[in-house]
Amino acid sequence: MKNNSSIIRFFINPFEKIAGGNALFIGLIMMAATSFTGSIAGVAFDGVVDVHLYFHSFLYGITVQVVSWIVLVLISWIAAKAVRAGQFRLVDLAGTLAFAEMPFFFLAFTGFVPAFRRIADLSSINLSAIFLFALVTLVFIGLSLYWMYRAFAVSTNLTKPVHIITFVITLFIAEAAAFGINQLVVKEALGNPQKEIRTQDPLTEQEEKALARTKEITGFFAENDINESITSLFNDEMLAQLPVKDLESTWNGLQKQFGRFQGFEDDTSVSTKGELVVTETTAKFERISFVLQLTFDKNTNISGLHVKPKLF
Amino acid sequence: MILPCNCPSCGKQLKVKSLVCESCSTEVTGLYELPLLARLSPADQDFIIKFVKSSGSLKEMAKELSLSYPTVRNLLNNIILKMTENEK
Repeated sequence: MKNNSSIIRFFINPFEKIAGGNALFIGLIMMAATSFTGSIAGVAFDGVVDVHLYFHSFLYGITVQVVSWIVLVLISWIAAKAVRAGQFRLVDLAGTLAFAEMPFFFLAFTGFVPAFRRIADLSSINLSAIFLFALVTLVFIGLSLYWMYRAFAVSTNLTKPVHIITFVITLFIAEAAAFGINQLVVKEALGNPQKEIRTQDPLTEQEEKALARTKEITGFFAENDINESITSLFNDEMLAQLPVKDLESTWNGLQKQFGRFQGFEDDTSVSTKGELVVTETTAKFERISFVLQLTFDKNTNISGLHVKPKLF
Repeated sequence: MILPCNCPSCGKQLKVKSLVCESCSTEVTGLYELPLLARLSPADQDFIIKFVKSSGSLKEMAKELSLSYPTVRNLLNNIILKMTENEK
């Protein structure tokens, strides 16, 4: 009975018992373990409370996680000083916030579940899988968020109800800052981690052919060489809807509106939807990036070409 | 026997009315404020005693109470706040 209540008390407030250097040591070890598991399972924690499904290197995974943690510690420290917290140790704040990310370790394993991977690949819309993934994510992120609040409150002794607002504002600012740094600085420094294909299964013959065709086509676009070499890869319906002249006019129109085309990123992804294979590649223009989406039919001819703004 | 600090009826702070010498039975009556430390709860008084015995080391206290350092420091800060309010 005593053990059960100790366990419950630990979950309610682990930082009653552990903080400082001990929490920091455990927290950092668990961060490394989370990043390692995430790099194999294809689960990245690239923000303070962000989780995304894509394959990446261990170096990328640990870097974005550590950057997010450092940003959270710094912003929390500034916020505590701003609301005139008394004396507190930075090691307590850093250690307890590192420890509070422990639930992410369990979340990293969701990438091994095939049904959850397919949500990320958009190769199937399974409502039960989406619901279950959302539920699992909510539980672990919820626990981590609660522990982050306890870490902030115990380390700084800011325990009045109004300080919950302080913590929430801190979290929002830290999340925005960490996300921005990871997207703009870390990705630039380490390269886009989404170079690998986003599916865990080996590529089918059709997917390999589609990738090869995509490389061929993006090569023409990269040279600004819009001619029948591209449209010869279209199927009949596609060719009727988008002849060479219209394709050239669309391409020039994009450059006129969004600046000169600067190149394609090495991030082509491929997925199969029934008989069709879809590839997506990021095209960078001066003022915006687009995703060039090519749909290939069973004969690996292009049956669809879409250009959509890249949001992330 | 633990010295009561608050009135069991209305909860207000008690004052000392009578002190007795067990040796010569002299009784001293008046209306005296409780000492500052005596106005704290038994748990807080116990904390202060342990704090003094630990030579003021919060690290020692944390070890003895099996609590984390910031938790012990927060307990001390809360006692300081109570004492400051009692002094007013």
